[in-house]
Amino acid sequence: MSTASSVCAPLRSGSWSPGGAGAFSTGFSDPGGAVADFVSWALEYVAPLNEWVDELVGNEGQVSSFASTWRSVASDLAGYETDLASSATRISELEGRTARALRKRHDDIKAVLADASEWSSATAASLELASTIVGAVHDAAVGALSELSGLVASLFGFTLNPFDKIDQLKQLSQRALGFIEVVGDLIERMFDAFERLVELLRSLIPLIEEGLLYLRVALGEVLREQIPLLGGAFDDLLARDPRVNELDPDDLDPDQRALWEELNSSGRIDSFEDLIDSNGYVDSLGGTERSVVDITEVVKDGQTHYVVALPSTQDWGQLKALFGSDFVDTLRDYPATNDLDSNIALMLMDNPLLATQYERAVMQSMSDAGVPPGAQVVYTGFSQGGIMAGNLASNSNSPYETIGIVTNGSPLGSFDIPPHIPVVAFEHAGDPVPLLDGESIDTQNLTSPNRTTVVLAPPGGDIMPGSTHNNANYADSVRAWEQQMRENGTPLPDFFGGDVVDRQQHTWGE
Amino acid sequence: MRARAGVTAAILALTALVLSACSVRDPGAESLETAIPAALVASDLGITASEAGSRVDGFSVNVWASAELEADTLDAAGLRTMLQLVTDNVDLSDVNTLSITASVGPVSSDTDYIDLGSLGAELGFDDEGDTRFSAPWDDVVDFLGE
Repeated sequence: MSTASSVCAPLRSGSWSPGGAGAFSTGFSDPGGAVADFVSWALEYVAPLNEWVDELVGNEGQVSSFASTWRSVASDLAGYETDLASSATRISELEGRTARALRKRHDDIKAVLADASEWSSATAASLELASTIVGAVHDAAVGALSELSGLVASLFGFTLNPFDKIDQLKQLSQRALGFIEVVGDLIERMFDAFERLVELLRSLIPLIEEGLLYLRVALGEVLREQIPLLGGAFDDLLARDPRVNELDPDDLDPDQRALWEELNSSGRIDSFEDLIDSNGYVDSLGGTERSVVDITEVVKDGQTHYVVALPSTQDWGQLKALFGSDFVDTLRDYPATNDLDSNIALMLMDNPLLATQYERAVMQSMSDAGVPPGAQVVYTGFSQGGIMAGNLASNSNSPYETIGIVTNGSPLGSFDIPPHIPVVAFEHAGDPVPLLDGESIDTQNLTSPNRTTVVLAPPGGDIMPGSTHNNANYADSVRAWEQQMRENGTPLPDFFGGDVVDRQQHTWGE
Repeated sequence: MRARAGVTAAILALTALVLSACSVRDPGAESLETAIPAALVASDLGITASEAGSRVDGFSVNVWASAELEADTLDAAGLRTMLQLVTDNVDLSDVNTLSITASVGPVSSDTDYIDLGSLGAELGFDDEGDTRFSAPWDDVVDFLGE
């Protein structure tokens, strides 16, 4: 039996509270009954009981809510175990030293996750029992008070014999003392049991800390063994969830403020160009200062869907020097999480456990914006934003239903996007980035009828990457292409358009 | 996973290669973030405050500038002067677009923007219906050289 199991077994069995909740039940009648009928001066006979009730009221629900939280943790951990098993299956097909090392790491992580799941469910079970005990003791105290209430009522009932009062007062006093003794013993036993429970839970803490430390190190090693590249990407994957807020226009510089007003004044989404423009807006509103995502609620023919525009790489990390930044500036990690680290991590990611800060923040933003689970969503993005769109569309665990993605200048070949999801990918001839997936001829076009790659002429005939891999130039090219299609009478797919009924921008930083 | 790793390595290599060919900053030059506002405020256009900066768009850089005026006194000739002052103070060798906004007073929730889009149209630039002036950098440079 492992150390964790030796702690979990008594937690789960309830041996810290011999007899379980049943040992705390009493025969008092009418729990929660006529306490309010008490005559105030009579309370001096039962003051300890009354105080205990006051202290215990509400605690049952509180303990019960803790138990529910631990149940949820246990459930999540069980889900992660399933994801890990799926990942291990894929690795099992690989050969060689690195693959063997990876398999070993996955096995180790699986064991830690199993332990964590066991701690969580055992803790939940123990807290559920504790909640029941609190309820039983509470009911006992209230029941005692109710019975005393009946005695007090009869004491002051009509009688012609004054000596009866003396006898009844003696009876009340004796019954009150008896109740106090019984209920006091229950409470004392309850606290004894809880002390033993606390000791058991406390003994779990070092095990949990050790497990978390192991997971962090092991995940990092898994990634390093897979790709011996830049370390920042690992930190990105393992970083805490960034705090997401709705974008405050007062935080924007004057240029961004004007763009923000332009973006939020649009009442319809009518064209692919509108989506490409949105990609440019989120990039400009974010820059390197922050990451911004645009979430638009659109209604078409009475049906609601959401269009989510995702930002491209804004912080090129140590490559910033090549954009003209000072050397010192290249060492700075700007707040935007759509950065070089994320770019690398996003392409490495193949497991929901390892979602980048960027992806986690997008999901949080959509939730905060009121996008309900199961909602139909179109993702759009330029460059890294398009990579994120492909990533989200291929995530089978997503709480949303992806009904299409539109990208420009993005390599999508390495994502397993379900074939029923329409994909429209714009690529400038000469833009090297969409070709980085190794699919110079988009082979997925042959197998996915819903996938359309539109190759556009290089802007102004300029095939330099600075011109071809540029969102503003993509917007111009897509506008010209759409105009040409309309003139030719060629029908265009429209899974994204409609009236804008709400538009929100959410932001975060690292 | 191996395919994605290849893509990642390729992105890094390509980015370094592409960017090494553009946007080299003159190490001795004053940064555009300070030089442009100083030049605009020192002009006789009635500009009381200004900001400027640059942003990445893919593999290229966009430059932006803003100007606060006390009144809507700017005309097409004034915009031309602004374009000249901005381009004179950009120390990057390769810029994709230039955008400028101008407002009466500071930018806030009820900003009164000056319609630079229309003024730009008077100078021969495309008017996209926004109050913000935006044009390809090379077009601006060509216009000023005419």
